[in-house]
Amino acid sequence: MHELSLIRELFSIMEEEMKKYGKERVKKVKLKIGRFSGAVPEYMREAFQFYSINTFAEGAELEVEIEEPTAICPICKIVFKPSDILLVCPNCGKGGKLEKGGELILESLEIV
Amino acid sequence: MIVIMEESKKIIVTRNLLEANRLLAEKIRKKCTEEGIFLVNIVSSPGSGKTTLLERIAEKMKDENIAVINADIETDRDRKRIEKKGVKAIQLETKGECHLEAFVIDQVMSELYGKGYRYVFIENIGNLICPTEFDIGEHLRVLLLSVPEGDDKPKKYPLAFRTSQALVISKIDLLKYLQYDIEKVEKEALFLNPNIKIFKISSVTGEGIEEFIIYLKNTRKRCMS
Repeated sequence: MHELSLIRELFSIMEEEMKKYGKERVKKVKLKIGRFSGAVPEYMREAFQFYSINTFAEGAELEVEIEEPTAICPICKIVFKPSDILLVCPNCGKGGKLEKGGELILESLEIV
Repeated sequence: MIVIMEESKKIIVTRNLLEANRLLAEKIRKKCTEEGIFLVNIVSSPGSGKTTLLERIAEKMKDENIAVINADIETDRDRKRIEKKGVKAIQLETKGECHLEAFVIDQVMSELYGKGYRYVFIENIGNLICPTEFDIGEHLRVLLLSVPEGDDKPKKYPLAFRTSQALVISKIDLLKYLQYDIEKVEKEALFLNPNIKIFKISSVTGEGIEEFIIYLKNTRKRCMS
């Protein structure tokens, strides 16, 4: 349950961005959540709702895009779509390294 | 009725939510290196023996200028145990927070800079999930896994194994009482992280502690040069 910390970080980034543009309210937030990022999208939504009460983002729409993972095998060097977080290489059976799908990105904001 | 349409503006941001934590962690690591402090982050489940291992380390590394940061959701029990060994200990009570973040360590480290400490051990909150997501500026992350927890842990908590440089299997004095396939644990840990260094210890009998301390000293030397 570290989603609340992640949302706290999101709010401090949003605040910085709004100051940059001289705006006061956020209408829409687009997040990209890697499937293997460790953050649960439903909890992120709940934490966002909870955190946004009485803030510049109250009532804002939260759009979440799930980023599907890809991994690379350090032995075979092939890039593959892992079926689970163990990242088993389909070719040699060794453990791969996550390339995509592990990140949490604030993609864009709609501000007024 | 006049409706005033607010002009909305879409801005592309593309910023990682963990970026601020990562940057602060880098800052802490740099500062610690300059100060000659080797920062060790110990992560594990509750009850795996973090404090007991630190008690043994405190006894054996008395002359090495060590300090300990104990993090718990509640109570200062762990700090008191470490202080009994004559070692500086600071208790962090996170009051519900399930992990440590760089900003917490940044605040507490200000008490430890400039005092000649060579090693600072951070006992993270007992939890194999959330603490593994956050770099707190450590030079070394040690994952402690105790025998009574069972031999099925590596594949259940892959990130904990992938983000640690050392795995310490603790309470090995209990191996004779339990069905625990230690080879399976080692194999699965190495599957997840081929570079992980594995130690087997008992804080009760003292087995393996010396070897782990040598590793700590060598790794410190490498990080400081």
